[in-house]
Amino acid sequence: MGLGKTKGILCPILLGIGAVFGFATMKVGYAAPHALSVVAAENTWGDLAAQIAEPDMHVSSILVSPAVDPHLYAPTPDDARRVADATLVVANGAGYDTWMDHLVQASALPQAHYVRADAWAGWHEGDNAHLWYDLNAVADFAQRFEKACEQADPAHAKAYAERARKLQADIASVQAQALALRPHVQGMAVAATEPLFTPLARYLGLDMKENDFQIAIMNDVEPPPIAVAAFEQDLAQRKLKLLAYNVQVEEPASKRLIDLAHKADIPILPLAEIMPQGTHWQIWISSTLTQIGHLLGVAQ
Amino acid sequence: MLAYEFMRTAFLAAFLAALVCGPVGWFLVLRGQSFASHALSHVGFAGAAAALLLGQPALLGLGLGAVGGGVAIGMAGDRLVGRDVTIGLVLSVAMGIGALCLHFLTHSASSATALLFGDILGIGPSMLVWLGALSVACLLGLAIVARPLLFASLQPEQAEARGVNLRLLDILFLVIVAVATAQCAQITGVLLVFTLMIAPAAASLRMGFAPLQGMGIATLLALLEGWLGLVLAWYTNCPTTFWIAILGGSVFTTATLFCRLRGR
Repeated sequence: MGLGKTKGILCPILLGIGAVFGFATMKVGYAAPHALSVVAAENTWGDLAAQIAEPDMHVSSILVSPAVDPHLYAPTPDDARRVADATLVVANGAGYDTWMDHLVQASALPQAHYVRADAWAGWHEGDNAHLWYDLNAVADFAQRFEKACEQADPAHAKAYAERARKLQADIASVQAQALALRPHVQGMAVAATEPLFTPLARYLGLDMKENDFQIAIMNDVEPPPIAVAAFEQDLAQRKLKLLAYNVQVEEPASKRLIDLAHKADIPILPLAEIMPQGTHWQIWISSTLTQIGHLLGVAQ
Repeated sequence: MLAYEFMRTAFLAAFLAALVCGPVGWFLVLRGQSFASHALSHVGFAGAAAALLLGQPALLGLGLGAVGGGVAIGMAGDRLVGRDVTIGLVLSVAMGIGALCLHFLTHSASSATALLFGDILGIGPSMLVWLGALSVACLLGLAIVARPLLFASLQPEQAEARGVNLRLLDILFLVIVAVATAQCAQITGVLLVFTLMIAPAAASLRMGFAPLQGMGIATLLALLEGWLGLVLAWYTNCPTTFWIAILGGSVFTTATLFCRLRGR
């Protein structure tokens, strides 16, 4: 165990660390892009942001594939880089995408340039986190995001305001569609395998059942046996008029319920946390509303 | 790469973790307690779930949970029999409680589940200060108990005969391990604390160095693992955790092969 041996081991290790450090300090590639850019955590908010910011800012979203569960996403170095280079960052918030909070914190982006949907006055700690299904939260987000655009890029303020007006009109027409549906479906008992549907259901005045079960599935814990039993019974006895489920989460427990709903001839509504590609938020939500009306037997 | 604030922070955080992981891991492997570090990180996860339920920051819960677990394992532990049984039991009880906490949670659990795989790219300035404070606390604690701990680890009977309180020492050491684990979990995540704490230390012990040199080598290896992991993640866009785990495995394998070839 002489000194010579220690040196023999120490040298390659130190060389390795030195090489890594040298490599890290090298300035290769990845020059910060000059154009203004917006990074969104999910493509739902990315789409809303793009409708206001593009083409004056380039908008990209981190979560674009329905194959990932946003609750469990871990950002890659590339994501961190995009956030660090961004002019504005948007996210859902509400504990849904805390990884984005961390990336923003680590990137030294000013807090005013970080627009979160949960900053809406109607949201309180512990409320439902799926804010893109909350029509009022979306309208509020669009308004705050437009202000942030104007602040970040005053030269194009008029263009942002113009596009935001158009988007607000579209949001208002989705709201009108929901309000027109509301009197026909109000008070109907519905359920979901996850709390995804809750904000929209509330807007429509639907009576949301089986909430304990839904929260358990969202947080990846076993649903309480009593909740499962009640859920199955309500399905078998056809007490529920509609069953919504999250296409992005394949849980054995919720699969069983979907099968049961099939057997009991209860209409099933597929929902998602990430928007299908090639569409816009207002088209997506509007077609969901049409589908809900159709499934609940309301002709619009 | 270092033009980005988040990368500078990540490099610093990995450095702070390596500083602690080297010596703490060295003692863990020497004492045959590597399973304890794995278990404590999971116990910490249960603590984080409980903290979330009470509306407290997850890191606080993680730290307190791990320290509580360390004390429990140290108190219940028997030197001769059933060490792994105690650790396993504490682990499973804690995980059960963790599941219960998540069950009562009415909002999203994502800030607890984010701890499972770590978030080295998302460390903010305030978190970095915390990590630094934890490092200093760990190293100070270890410096105080190092001498009797080494004695007790190598020759427990003699140490006891000389009046060293083995149980107290064990508890103190496990508390240090718990704090180190909580810190390391920020980098590698709860599931992979093993890779940064145990792999470099095991490789260093395999090569048979004197204590101080061994700890130094373990620290340097941990640093190499962490930094190289970050660089590789940067260029490949694969998770940092993946690279650190792979590097941990290869460091240990290389050390083993090296010793075999030398016929030791």
